[in-house]
Amino acid sequence: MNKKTKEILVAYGFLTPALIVFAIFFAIPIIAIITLSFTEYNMISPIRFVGLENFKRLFTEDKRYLKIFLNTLRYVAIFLPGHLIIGFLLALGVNRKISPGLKYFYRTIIYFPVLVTTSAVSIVWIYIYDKEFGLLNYYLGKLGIEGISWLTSSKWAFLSIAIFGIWKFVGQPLIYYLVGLQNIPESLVEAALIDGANSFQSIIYITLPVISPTVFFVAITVMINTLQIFDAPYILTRGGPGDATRSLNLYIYEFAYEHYDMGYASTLALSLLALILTMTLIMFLISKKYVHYEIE
Amino acid sequence: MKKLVALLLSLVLVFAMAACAKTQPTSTQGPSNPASSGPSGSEPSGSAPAQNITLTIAFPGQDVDEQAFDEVIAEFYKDNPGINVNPIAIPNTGWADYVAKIKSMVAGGNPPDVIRIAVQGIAELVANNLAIPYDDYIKQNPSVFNADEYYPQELLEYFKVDGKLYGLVWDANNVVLHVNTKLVEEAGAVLPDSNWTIDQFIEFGKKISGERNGKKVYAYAMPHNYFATSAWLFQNGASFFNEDMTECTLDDPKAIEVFRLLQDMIYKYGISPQPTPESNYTNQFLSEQVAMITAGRWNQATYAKNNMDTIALTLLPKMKQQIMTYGGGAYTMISSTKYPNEAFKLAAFMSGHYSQRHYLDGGSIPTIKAVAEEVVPVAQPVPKNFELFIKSPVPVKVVESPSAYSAIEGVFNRYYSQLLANEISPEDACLGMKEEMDKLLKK
Repeated sequence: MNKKTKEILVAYGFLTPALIVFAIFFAIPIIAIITLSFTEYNMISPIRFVGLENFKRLFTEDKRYLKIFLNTLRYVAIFLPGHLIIGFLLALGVNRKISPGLKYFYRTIIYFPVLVTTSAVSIVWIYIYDKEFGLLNYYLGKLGIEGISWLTSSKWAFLSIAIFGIWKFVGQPLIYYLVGLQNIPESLVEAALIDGANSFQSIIYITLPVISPTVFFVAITVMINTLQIFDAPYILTRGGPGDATRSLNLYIYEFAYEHYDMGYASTLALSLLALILTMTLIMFLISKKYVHYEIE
Repeated sequence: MKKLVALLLSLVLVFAMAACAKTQPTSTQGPSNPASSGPSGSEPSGSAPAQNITLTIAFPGQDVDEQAFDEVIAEFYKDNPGINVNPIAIPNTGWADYVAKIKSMVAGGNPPDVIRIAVQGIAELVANNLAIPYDDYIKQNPSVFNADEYYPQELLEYFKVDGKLYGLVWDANNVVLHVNTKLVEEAGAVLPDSNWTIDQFIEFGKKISGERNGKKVYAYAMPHNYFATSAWLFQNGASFFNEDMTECTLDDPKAIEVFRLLQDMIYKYGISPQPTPESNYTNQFLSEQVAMITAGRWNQATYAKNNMDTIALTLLPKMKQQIMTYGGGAYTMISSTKYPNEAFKLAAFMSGHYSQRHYLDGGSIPTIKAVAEEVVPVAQPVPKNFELFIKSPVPVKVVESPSAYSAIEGVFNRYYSQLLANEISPEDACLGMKEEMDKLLKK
């Protein structure tokens, strides 16, 4: 065995675990949902091939799908800028010249919700949001504001989930941004300041272009995670009232585990996969113009 | 050499991951049979006594009382050497979710042998050929099941499908109003007799509701579930389905009237707080935010733990009639069991006198009448009118159990959440539910 062959074998050896994980958790499930989307299968009876029946049902008969599809996009429209902007502002704040202890404190406080399971903190938020006995309405009441149906009105439920979601997950982009900010050469910022740029101009023309790959990474991960949102609306509102806060993932769960209609659930899952791929592709196309990988 | 070591390590990692891949549901690790020895699970079923087999019994997570289970199963072991019992607690958000998880276990090739199942889920299990009828087993062992001992008899009928018995009934719960008499006294109100009307209920509710000592108090926590809503429908002579459960009957004006009443309790009469799907009405009751809830006896242990001893029971008010709505649970054998004779022994024991007396003293109502009469009057705190847990003074009806229950509960929850948010009219909600439920029933 020559040296090159050995190296190739070692390389494959290192790759094998990742490939196996990829096959088990990604490739095989994707192949399974593509196959199942052409079938009728309730987990107990034998699988029956139904051709394009599930796709016909999705595009011509399912009256709920469009609303739920738009809900999913609406989540992205709120979560994406929310995480990008608030995460960035928090990172700028934490990255200021403050004592290391204070910096550590802020980082911990903001990142802590990411570490706690969504189901556990959701229970607390249900009590905060409760219309009659909740903490939030109690203090709003002190200000003379009438109690809001945070979780039970279609007008407010979306916003409630968004507030919860941003509070829960904004620590993640904060950490990415902090790493990006700490990697900006000080000489660049100093040169800009000498040239007369103010802080705002320095952020727009120096900081943002330099950390644009980080911003892009945050945007992609937040977008993909949000398109797959499940736990927050499931626990806080069960997708309701009606379908007001139902996401595609909740809808897939409903057909898979309430109706045991694995064929149709797989078709819905394929539509979510197509949506994620399309939006990711669009983001990559946009990134060509705005993301700079080299500091000139 | 280093690279080869790295290669070997990565291969070890792969095998380690593969070894970890098989996952098991949460086992509560019940006691093993002291009379058993050696490896388990290899003996085929038959009429001969079993030798070292393990049966898995599944419970809804919230039902598991490990201490009581260990006590009951230790008694089972005395007469059944060679049978080990492995209890599994299945976390769930309701009966529909529980049935879904049982189905997943069956589909995943890891089914339980016996499960505890509510009446809401039995038709669905049978429709999916997941349950074994008990009739032949009872014929061979008539002493283990005496139908005449049970109350209410109507509940037994609901565990029969096409004349065959699929559940050995264990526990029951009836929908009654639990009233916190302390809040009633504080409001200067008097709880009317249990044969009260809906008008009296609303008047009573208005007296209770309001701000007291700087704290908001409501009269009645609106139920956010199919079981209690069924009870309200029955009061008005309506129901979710026709008798053979082939058609949804929510387009009946009597049903629409009930949904309007429930909506009005929040928005017109102001006697109920707006609930969320996750509202814990028992907590609201315990923290004296509401004076009445619709519940079964399942709260008994919670009341005891919280020293809540100011509870009176009463019937739901009369609309067109007064009905006592029952639900209940039974032990069902799963059709894939390799040891049906032993599974039958276990199910029969779990539903029998000893199990009911020791497991249900602080929870649901024992379905063997003699056990209920022995246990209910002494379990502390004893609610006023506790007799309503033992015998109904009004006709009994069992909650309806269509074969597509899981999906139907989802449809109900979706429309009901809109109704309680005042975002859909009772007419539209009922007609919408009917349309979707009829489709599911035809499927």
